[in-house]
Amino acid sequence: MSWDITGIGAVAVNGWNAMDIHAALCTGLTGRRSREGDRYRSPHTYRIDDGARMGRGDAGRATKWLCEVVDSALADAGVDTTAVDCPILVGTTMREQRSVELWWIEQQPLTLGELHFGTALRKRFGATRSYTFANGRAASLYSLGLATDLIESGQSDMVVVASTDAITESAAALFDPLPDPARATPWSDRCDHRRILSGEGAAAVVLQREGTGSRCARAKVRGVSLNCDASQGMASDLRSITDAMRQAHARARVSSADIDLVMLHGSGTDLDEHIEMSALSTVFADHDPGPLMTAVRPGGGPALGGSGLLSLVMAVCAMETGAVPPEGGNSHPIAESAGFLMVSRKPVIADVAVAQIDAFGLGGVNAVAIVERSR
Amino acid sequence: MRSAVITGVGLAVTGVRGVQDLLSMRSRDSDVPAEPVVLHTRPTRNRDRASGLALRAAGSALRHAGFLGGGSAVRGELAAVVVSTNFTGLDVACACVDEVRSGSIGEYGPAGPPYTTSDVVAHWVAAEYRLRGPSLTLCNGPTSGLDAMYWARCLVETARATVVVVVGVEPDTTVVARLHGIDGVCRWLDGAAAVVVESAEHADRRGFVARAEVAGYWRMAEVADVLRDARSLGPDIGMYLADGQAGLPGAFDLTRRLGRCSGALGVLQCVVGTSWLDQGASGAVLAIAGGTSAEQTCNDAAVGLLLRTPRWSVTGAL
Repeated sequence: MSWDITGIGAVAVNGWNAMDIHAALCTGLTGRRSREGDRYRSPHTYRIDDGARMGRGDAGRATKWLCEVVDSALADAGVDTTAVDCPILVGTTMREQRSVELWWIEQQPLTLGELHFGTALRKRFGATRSYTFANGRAASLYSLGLATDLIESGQSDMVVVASTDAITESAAALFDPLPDPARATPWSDRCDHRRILSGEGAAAVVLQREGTGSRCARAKVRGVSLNCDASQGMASDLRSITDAMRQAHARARVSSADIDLVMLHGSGTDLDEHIEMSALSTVFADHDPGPLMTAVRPGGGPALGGSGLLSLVMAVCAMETGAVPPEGGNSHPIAESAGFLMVSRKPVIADVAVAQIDAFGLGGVNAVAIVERSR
Repeated sequence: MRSAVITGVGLAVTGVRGVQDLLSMRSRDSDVPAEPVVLHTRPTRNRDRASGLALRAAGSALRHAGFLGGGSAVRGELAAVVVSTNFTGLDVACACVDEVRSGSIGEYGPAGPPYTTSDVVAHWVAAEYRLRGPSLTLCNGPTSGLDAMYWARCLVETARATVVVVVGVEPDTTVVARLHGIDGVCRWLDGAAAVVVESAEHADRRGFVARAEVAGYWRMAEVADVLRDARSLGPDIGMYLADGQAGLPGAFDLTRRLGRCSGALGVLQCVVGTSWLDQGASGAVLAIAGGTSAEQTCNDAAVGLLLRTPRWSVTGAL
């Protein structure tokens, strides 16, 4: 079984729609910006420039972007946005936590309804079947997997899968990127395992039962695996991640030889990068040189809970345009990546038919999706 | 499609000694005493109050389901966790901002930074009980607990899991108290409820008699819509669980005694409903959350969940 992706939408630090973000990635335009103030170790951040200054006008940004990307994806799929009666699954890391911080520290106004994305989705789209999953950096691919389950089990013919995250002051302080840009580049052997790239953004896709949409599918989801490390630590577990990749291939009924492109999770921490690469080395051991590999987190600005869905949207754009965006300059690749076809510095023109999307959350929540080009 | 049954329940709620205390609230008009749950978990880095409460409730539910203390083993790859909470993590985030603004935030230790996100509870529950299947955290407003039960049933029905530990938890902390105060609410829950949802076939194979079946779920615009569709399913409903504003005379309102339960409400309702059925009561249980009775500005939908005596016996016959 496969599921049609009939609409896509995205907002990131380097673009206000999916194709613009893809084009920006291909030209090497990053979302790195100077940070205001001196409260953090790093002078840079991946913050969406929407006119709001840190602390002023910040409240409600995650909700605003969520509504925008859902609207874009529905419009792209040719679906009426005024009365959405299908489920909307939202993956997030930080929810509307930034609004809570501002209420707490600056006494800015807040209602409990503003903490709940469902309130805005009901108001904007008339949706009464929305669910918010706070599942760390794997949240949006988890939502995608659950959406396929809803369609497969006959509970709905269409599901909107979305993600949104605005960076919080607490996360910025705790997971501050290092000042040296080279050290904040994934797959670099200089990464500090306790520094994690953080950023913001939103993405959405409309998923429909095969052949039921009013418009042609832009791509197809073939399968999504979900698991959990169940370990005490924050670092990823090699066995679980390897299992997640293999389960995704099994659910999609593809072999590792069928994968043309891997959209890496690329957390920016050396330990997790080693583990992801080790898992890929195992899964793709019989294939030399194996699939192309890239990621959108370093260049496009990582999107926390939405990183997996933004990666998926970029994979769809790569299938449609034939251009696989680079992950950005990486002058110190880790040893495990040596045998792989890493797309770095400039885009690669390629015929991508099947892509693997990785998303691994802190604390060991893992999801891997397989996406196929629409014929 | 596989059916989902409930095989165990557990509680860790301030002022409540056990499920019988909750059931007795249905007839007695007594207030809940305020003794807080004292947590005696082993010291672990960054373990917050919500996680401590959840671990205790989940452990009780797993034992009740025969999985701990010499009972059946949980097969980790097919064991999932679903947590419902609306307030977990917010207190840690606000404390961090206080430190940032005061200039006192420093390097964290080798154990890493504290968790500021709501999925911390699911992380600890999965780690403690080695649940290696899907891990979900629902933050879905007043209906979140019943929504979590729905997703547990989905995981079982679609064979992503055979056993799902569902936890509803809300901690009473300084930040959470002030958040409730926004709505003028002066009483709220400090506690966790847990339910073990399992595939009927799996429970049957290990010779365990299910206590209740998750028989129906509705998420609709208004409570009246939920009632109409639930009643049309046919079962005689012997117990309604809803708060006072749902307009259901005779409904058992847990919030009247426990205060606002938020993300924990639906799971608490399922603990009560399951225990009532497990004691041999006749009729089904309909739990309702959300709608016009919801936390004032959070009224995106009303949700109903139907529990009934399981159709499966230990012999597997319908």
